[in-house]
Amino acid sequence: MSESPWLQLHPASVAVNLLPRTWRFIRSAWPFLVAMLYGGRDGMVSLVDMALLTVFFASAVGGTIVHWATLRYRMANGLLEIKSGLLNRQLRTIDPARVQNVEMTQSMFHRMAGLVEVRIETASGAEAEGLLSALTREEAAALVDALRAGQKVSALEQEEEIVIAHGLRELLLFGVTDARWGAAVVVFGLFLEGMPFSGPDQLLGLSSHGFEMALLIPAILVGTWLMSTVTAVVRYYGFRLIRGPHGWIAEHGLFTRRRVEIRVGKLQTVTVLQPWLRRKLGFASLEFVTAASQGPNTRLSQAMIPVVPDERLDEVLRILAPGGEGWADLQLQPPDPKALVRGLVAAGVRSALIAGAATFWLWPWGLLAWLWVPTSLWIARLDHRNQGWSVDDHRLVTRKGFLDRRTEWMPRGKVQSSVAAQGPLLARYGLGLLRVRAAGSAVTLPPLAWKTCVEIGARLSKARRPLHPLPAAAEGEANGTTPLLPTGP
Amino acid sequence: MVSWLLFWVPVSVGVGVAALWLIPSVYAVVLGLSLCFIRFVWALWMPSVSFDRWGYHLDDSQLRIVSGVWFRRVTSIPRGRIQHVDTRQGPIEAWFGLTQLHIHTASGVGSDGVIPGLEPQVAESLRQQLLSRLDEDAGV
Repeated sequence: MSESPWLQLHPASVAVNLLPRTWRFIRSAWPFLVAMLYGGRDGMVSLVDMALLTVFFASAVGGTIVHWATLRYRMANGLLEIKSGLLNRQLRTIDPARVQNVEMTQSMFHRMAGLVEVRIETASGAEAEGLLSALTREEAAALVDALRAGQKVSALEQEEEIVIAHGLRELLLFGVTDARWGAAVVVFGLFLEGMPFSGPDQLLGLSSHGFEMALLIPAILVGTWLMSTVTAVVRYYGFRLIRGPHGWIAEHGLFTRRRVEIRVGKLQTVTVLQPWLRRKLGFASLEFVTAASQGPNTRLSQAMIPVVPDERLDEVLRILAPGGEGWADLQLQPPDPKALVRGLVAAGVRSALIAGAATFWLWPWGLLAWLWVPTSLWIARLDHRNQGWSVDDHRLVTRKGFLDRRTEWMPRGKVQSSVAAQGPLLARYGLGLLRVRAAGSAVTLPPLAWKTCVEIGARLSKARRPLHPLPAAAEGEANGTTPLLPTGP
Repeated sequence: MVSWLLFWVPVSVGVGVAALWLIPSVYAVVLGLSLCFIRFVWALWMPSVSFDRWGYHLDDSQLRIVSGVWFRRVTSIPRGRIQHVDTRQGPIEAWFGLTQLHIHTASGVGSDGVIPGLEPQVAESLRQQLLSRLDEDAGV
């Protein structure tokens, strides 16, 4: 596959793309569609509504056909070129050396047609820079080989070796400990939104059903928990972590099979997820982020290992993220003691607001919510005791949380910039927060003394050099005592 | 002061007029004038304090930018990680003959650091220095 002629997507890509595209449209526009179907007179769909639906569907079909008919790709002069578009034509050139990871996905439709979707991601944006939605397996393999040749990555002398494989038991363990409680809040909100309120009287009338409402909350929580378990099992079904000659590969998925290949050295951050229940069950989950993620504020893991037994954590980290070894002996420094006061005040105010709202909405059962105040203060105290950080010549490590513990690890060589920030409340306690950015992700250290924050930020910018104290002048700058170069008048 | 004239004076008038529907006219006028006066004092005082807190320092290894009055920030950017530098000048800055530099790394957050209020020759010199290490490892 050197300088080859332009290649085209498989013709079945029209059918393969159309169904998911239609489904995506229905998913994003369902309120509009429901209103259209049931909002008409006598529940009838009007001619205009039908015409609108037809136009939407026709545009989806047309867009899919144009996409297939105009998209071409090839390797030319060692670069991947992808051109597409009918009216707005685009030619994209991707240097294989800049590729962060290559992902091959097979939805149910792909599997029926024997096709593969290839996503090629660089560090430049939120979406896959190269998306070839339907190639045969042979075409996909040839393309991946050509990209590897362009990356000039020397293959290791080893065959593919399965490092971790999950059965149903591991996935259920992961699922039951992966409840996303935010979804429960959304469900509860939707329920309240759907109640037939028409005025304050009816709203206050709800308080007479306090017992039923109090039962509803655990019911929603249990439903959300079951749903999140099923989702986790479907998403990570048949999980395998493979050490390959060019890096490592994660494969998973029941309906949509995903295979993501990441080169060693491309990792920006590794997160060890150890919620309380997982710690008790003796395992952790690992999340890996490359520069192809969606940015520090909307991070999306490039790969996740759902279950890693505690006794294998060190071994797995050593294989996947060189420099990550020594996990078992990790010595972390505590946050500043004054951060405890700040944490207790924040937890107290937050829980009192929630309890106040619950008392108002769910009287008299809502009074039980005040039990949450001492509980949250206790959790805040435990959170503080479980926080820690460490910076050495090779890596930056930060740990947070008691119930939802996250330990994040970033190689020093990946630091892009750092920001020490201090608002009025933090200033009151002489504290600051240090946020360290890598490409596509960021980690925040626990609250530290302001001077320490500034000093660590400066040290991290001198990556891969031995640590040494800041010169006195620089410390003065950080504290605002020595004037820096002023900006213009 | 320019933002006060162009933004806060019309906003204060708007708030005063809107308040006419809710409270007696005397109070509405007082409310509008108070808002206008408070923002005037703020516009007189804040820029000088903010200016005193802005600063940058470039050494062999990194660029450091400090800023903020209520919310202090110290940004450190390794020189070798700088991907590109934007020079920007809005109409008000053009009027005063000033420019600002926006420094970008591969972190993907937009500008990692901003240095406002630079004279054009200073900005150009700084830009050249910041871009002198583009061949180093970008860390991605």
